Amino acid sequence: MFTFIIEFLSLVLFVGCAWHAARYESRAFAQPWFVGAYLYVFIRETITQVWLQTYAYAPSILQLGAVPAIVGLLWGSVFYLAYQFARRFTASERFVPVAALMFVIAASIALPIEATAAQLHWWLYADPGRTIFGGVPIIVPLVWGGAAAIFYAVFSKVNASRLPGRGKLYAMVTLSPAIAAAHLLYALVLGFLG
Amino acid sequence: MKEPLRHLPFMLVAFIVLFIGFVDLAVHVETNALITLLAPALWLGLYLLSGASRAASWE
Repeated sequence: MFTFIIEFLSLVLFVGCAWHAARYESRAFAQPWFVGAYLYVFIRETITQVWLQTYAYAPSILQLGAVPAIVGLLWGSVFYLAYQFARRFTASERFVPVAALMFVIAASIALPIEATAAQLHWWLYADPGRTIFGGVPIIVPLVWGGAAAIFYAVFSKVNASRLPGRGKLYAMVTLSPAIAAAHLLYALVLGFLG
Repeated sequence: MKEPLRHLPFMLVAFIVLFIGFVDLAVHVETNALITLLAPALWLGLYLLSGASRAASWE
């Protein structure tokens, strides 16, 4: 129901975040971040939709193969927003404080989106288990937080490397299946525990 | 604020809160779902507070 709402939101967030990243970080930062995130989501969602089938998207959501084409942009944007907020709260150059803050902030940003999705049936979980806030499976905010932290773990290493801008882009493209695999494993463990 | 667009991430999170909030109110979702808007709103508040404390530390 009203799936254009989440597609519009995803598009606005993506355009805003990509512009901000290119303007205030650098183009060499923005390209690996958003291309890497989209590829990671593409691989992750393909495996989830085709093999695991833990949730299904509403048929009215625009899809590319088995992947929601526009909603897939949401992930990289939420990660970026979490990153920018985390940088606001810590000046640490170390990975752990930034990743920990990103975990909590990404989960917080995703929570109202997931709650509305549950109410409007944008995507439906096959076995939601215990739910909170009107139908959100209890592990879903943790899955979002983990996705942000895992993505940043890889991106920070690539960004700190001596690779040139295009090399960082290729590195993120190459590593996106590894990020997807790590996140799927993390989500499966959470699902098993939850 | 010399460069307001530097704070675009803040504006985008505020946009999420307002946009999702209006959608939730328009379609009459459960109160439980509306409460979730407090999570990103909390970070918006902390973002503003951290700005104020930074400005104070510069003085």
